[in-house]
Amino acid sequence: MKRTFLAFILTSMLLLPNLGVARVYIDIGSPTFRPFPIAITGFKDLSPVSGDIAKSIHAILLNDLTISGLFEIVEQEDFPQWQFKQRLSDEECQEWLESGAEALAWGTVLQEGSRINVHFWFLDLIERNLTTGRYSGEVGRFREIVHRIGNEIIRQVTGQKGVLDTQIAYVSKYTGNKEIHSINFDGHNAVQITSNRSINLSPAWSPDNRIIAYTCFRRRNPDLYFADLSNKTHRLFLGAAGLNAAPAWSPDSKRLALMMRRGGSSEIFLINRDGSNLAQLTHTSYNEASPTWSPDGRRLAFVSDRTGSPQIYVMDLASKRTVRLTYNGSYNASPDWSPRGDRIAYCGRLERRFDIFTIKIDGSENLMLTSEAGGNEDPVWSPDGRYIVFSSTRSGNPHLFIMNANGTNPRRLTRNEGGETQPSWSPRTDSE
Amino acid sequence: MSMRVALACVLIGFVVFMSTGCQRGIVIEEGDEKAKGTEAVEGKAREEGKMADEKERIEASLQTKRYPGIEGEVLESSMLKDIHFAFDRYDLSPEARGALARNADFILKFPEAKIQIEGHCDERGTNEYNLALGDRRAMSAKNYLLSLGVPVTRLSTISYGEELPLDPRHNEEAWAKNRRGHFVILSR
Amino acid sequence: MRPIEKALLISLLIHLAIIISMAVFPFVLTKKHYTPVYQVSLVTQPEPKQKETTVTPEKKKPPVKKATRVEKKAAPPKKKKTVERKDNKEKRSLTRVQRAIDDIKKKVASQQKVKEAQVRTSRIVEAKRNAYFDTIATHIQANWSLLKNQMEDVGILTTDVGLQIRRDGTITKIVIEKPSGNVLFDEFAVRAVKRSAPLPPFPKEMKEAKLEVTIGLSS
Repeated sequence: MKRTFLAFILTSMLLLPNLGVARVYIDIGSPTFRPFPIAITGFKDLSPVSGDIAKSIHAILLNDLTISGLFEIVEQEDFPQWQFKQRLSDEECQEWLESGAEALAWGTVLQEGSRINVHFWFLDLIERNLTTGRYSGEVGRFREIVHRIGNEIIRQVTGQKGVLDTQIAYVSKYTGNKEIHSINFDGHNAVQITSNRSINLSPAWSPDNRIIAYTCFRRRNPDLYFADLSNKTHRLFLGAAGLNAAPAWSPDSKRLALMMRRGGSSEIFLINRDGSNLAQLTHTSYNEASPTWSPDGRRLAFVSDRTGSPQIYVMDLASKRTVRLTYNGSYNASPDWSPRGDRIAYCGRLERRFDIFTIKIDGSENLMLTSEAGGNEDPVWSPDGRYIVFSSTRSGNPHLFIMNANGTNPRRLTRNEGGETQPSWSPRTDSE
Repeated sequence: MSMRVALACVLIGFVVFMSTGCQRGIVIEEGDEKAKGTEAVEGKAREEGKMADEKERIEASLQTKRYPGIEGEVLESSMLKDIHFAFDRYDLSPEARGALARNADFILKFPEAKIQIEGHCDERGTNEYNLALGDRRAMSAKNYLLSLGVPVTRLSTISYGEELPLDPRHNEEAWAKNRRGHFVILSR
Repeated sequence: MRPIEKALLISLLIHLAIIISMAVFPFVLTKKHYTPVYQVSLVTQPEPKQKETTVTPEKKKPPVKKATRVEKKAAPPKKKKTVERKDNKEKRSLTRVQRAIDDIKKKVASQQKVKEAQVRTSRIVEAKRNAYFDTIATHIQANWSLLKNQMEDVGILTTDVGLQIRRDGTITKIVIEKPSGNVLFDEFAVRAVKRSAPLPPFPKEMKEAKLEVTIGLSS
């Protein structure tokens, strides 16, 4: 009894220093918004046969971090003396901080025959955290390795991986007719996916990264085809007379929504990936088009002219309850649901020109993102919801542009003869 | 007096002349079947002659057409006219109806032909919605042709949306031309 | 139980009661909000607590009375001499009284001077401390930034970051006292504090070994 008493008293006396001490509280508000300053100090080539690969890696990473829109690259002239090592002293860290950088990135590359090994380091100068990683692969795919390093750096700074290694499929008239092509986020590695010399439209990249679905007219009917990305083969998936168009993959890649003709008008249908279970979702005598899925797979947004002009509607798949989303302007179409679930991007015509808008799912906060001369259509979100790719005629022929999701910094992605339209964004290829 | 006689003669002659004509008709009706048969055959021959002329004209108007990248060949006819639509609309104007009536005539005179009605749009608007709009335009035309007696088995429709413009320019004149219903013959 | 033990126990209980009541009633735990100088004018300062002792005239009276009593006792023996001696004695005791009064006045004056000096120095220390808080605020405000093209839509958030500042200005023991609910926002709040290190050293007028401060960083 006495002992517990004593203990109690002693512990309560320990509280004394904290009682009665007035702790000052300082309010700080109004932060500035600035990019993250980073210095890429260098890539060292450890290969037995010297080449340009270290320089290329450096240049690609520099470009990747720049086009991500998140970084300010601290340039060469500001650099203190750089030596390749894994530990920096406090003084060295301080020197770098004074040069303006808050983080450093560097690495080594070793090329042996057809293989390449890249080792990278990322040092946060404020938190004194060092991150490191190792990638290896075929020399021909070294760009992909650099993109993965860039993605990892973006994750260190923002908590969310980048999309530097993703691709965008699109329709191009470069060969004289409309074919499906794809290109990397940084504008390199353009690949032609169809070459049937027909009219090919509306590519849709499956979220499991296996198939690009598209509409093709080669049988004198708009039919739905699958391009198998693993073996580069194409097959007819759905060829009903009329329309088999505007394919949209469910987030789990198990189903597609599409537009088909039924009863004299175009309606939204669902079908399983194996071709079974064709189900009609809309039953109006009006035109419905361009379905897009919510990221939880429970709702579809689509275009309908049931009130006289094309507007965007949202349908709950369980209850089939449909609600109108857009009210501004006389033509709102081409909806794409953000992977973050909160907004839908679309193109809307005010007066004579189309511009890109995003709107919250509840219909509030309609934001206009483009205001250039020329038409802006077909907006599509990146898998991380940070960017929107769209087609614009602001420089003459339609070309693809990528901008931040808030409309800033549009960057031209494609620039070929004939023009590019109707983009579709690939899923992320490196795992979280 | 002689004037009166002359007039009477002319009148009588006229009447006789007329009545002989009628009589001839009457003669036939009243049962000179042989004569009737001859007349029918002659009539038919005249009809066939007409139809042969028509067929000739139809044949002369045909031209094969290949669409790059699309299977098969079709025939086009200068006698099958395009119809045009107003911006964002798929209803038929009086001019469109007139053209469709003449097209119906052609189709009925060409019983073996399977006709495809193509719906087209101008480049404004999204590609996907324009596929639906083109489809509605083709359907409008088809429904009207059905109402004029064209059998449904002879007609099919397709939408090309904005993908096959007639005039590639970017102005009102080109757009008006591109908003069309176009007719091709799939087979015969 | 012996009486001494009983007494100890009661004393301990009373002390305990005081301690617990201090813990329970938080008027002792003053969270003094400091708003930086650009929001508040420098002129107003907290009133320093003055314990002034006013010297009242009544205290001067007793020595005067004593002097008169001494005078009366010396009166009877020699009339002339005693009258002269009386006069001298009167004069002498008057000057003694005067000197006593002067001494008291001097003491009171010097006491007052000391207290005024104390008040002045405490005002200066207070001013210097406030100026130092302003410096802290200025440094951290200059380093408070969020990531462009990533964090514009974070909404209305505040992270409370607690830290300890040593006399030489170095910052230690950085702790997130109250997170905002957004992990990235909290990280950038801590970054702002870390980027501000080292702060300038304490002004010499501040006598503390260290300062415990909470910074509330808001969007």
